[in-house]
Parts: sequence; C-alpha cells; structure tokens
Amino acid sequence: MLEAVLGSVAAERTLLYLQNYGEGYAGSIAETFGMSPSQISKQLTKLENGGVLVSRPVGRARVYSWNTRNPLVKELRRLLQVTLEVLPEGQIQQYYRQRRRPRRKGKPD
Amino acid sequence: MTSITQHRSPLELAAIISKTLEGAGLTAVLSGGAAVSIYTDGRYESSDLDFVSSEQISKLAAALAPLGFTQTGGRHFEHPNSDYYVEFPPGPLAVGGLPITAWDRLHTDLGVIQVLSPTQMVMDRLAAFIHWNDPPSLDQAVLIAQKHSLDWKSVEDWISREGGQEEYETFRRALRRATTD
Repeated sequence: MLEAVLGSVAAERTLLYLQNYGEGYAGSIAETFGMSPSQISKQLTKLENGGVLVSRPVGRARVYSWNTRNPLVKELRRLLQVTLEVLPEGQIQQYYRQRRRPRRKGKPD
Repeated sequence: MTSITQHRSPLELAAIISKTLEGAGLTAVLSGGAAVSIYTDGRYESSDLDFVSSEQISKLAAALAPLGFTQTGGRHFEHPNSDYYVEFPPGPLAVGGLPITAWDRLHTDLGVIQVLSPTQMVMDRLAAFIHWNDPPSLDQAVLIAQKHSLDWKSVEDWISREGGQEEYETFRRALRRATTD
C-alpha cells in the first residue's frame, strides 16, 4: 500500500529498511533488496532534503537515520511499523532479519 | 569424566562444561545464542556457547583442558570432536544496564548448567533489539516468551529503566501474534 502512497518501490523499501534497522546507507539498502545503489541514494537524498532523515559520514559511506527533531517523523514511523508487522513472513525473513548484534572479530559466522 | 562427541547437543555440551567449571570452583554463566537454543528446544540454532565469566582465562583453560578443549585465541575455545565454539566473554554479567548477580541452575542428566533465566534472556535479547536494532533478537525473545512463564513485572521494571518502550510494545504485539497463530 505504501508504494502507492509514496510513488515508488524504492521509497517504500528505503523507509521500511530504516524503520526496521534504525539506520542504513545506500549500498546496504540496495544490496538487501537487489536494487541499484543510485535508485536508493536518490530516495535517501530526497528524504534528507525533506527533513525526514539526517545523515553523517562513516568511513566512505554516508549513513542515514531518522530526523528525530521532526515531530512528523514519529507518526511516519508508526505507520511504517504497522506496515512492517503485516508483511508476509517470507518477506520479513528475506529482507528484515539481518543480524545487527556485534560479533567479535575472528569469531566464525 | 563425560566424553565430548560429535553428536553432543548444545544442552549436553553446556552441562559438561558448566559442571566441569563449577567443580574447579570457577563461575561462568551461559548466555547468548546457546541459552536461546536451550530455552526454545532447538527452534533457534547457535554454533556458539557463550559463558560470561570474570575468571582468569588461564584458569578456565586449565579446567577445560582435560575435556579436550584448546584455546584458539583470546577467550575462545574449540574441541576436535565438536562443531560448537566456546567463548568466555568477560564480565560483569548484565542485561542492558542491569547487573545480574543471581541466575538459574538448570538440572540435566549430565550436570547443572548455570544459565541466565528465561526472563533474563528475554531482557538480553530485547536489549539487543533496543540498542542495536537487531531484529533476529526480537524473534528470539518471542520464541522464549512463548515457551516459558516470565516474570513480567521484572521485565517491565527493566524496560522503564532501560528505555525502549516502543520496542517493548513491538515485542508484545509480536508475541500476541505468535501466540494466536
């Protein structure tokens, strides 16, 4: 449904990714969904320009997270969370269950 | 001494290690993925056994050597007959910002396992979900809560101190969905 509201699959996936993982960069979001980084990057820039996201450089990447100073972001995230919770289990497992807990260097995966 | 073979489950392996360490007067408490595996009857699989311990690594190594474990770096051990990796993350034992000073003793045929309780493990997984945005930890918290009675007051007191009320509500909704499915 969000795709219709937001106008593109890339926008929907970018926002759902950020709702699920809290932050992300174009390469990781694009790789998760098998999309091109430029498509995602365009969405991230648009969302940052609109005051929805903020970004900071980390190494060679630009990491995007929520602009918590924007009062509308909380409401947007509520809608995204409801959307995430009604996704089919297959999609949840495929896209939204990447490990984020730290893992000591040298420990086998 | 109980031998370690290829087919030992995480539960059996944890019991053998825990019993051996306790016999040597050493404290180490099972946490992490292996504890989740035990509390979910294997619905979650882990290749690690993480025992949080403030003991000197040389003492742990000496106690485990007769079982056939060798130290392969840092606080990490392997056994030639087992695919599981054993690690001793240093203490203090805590779930999020809450220090843990008492835990469960799980009695098994091969010995007693010192292990975080189901309630503490749910808090531990929720801490990872809250602080690291780790979605698999949410699933693991749900799996444990489905199978065990929790001390909900302790969980809610902890959440109010830890922060993460929204994540906690996400967890409760996920648990309700899992329970009604």
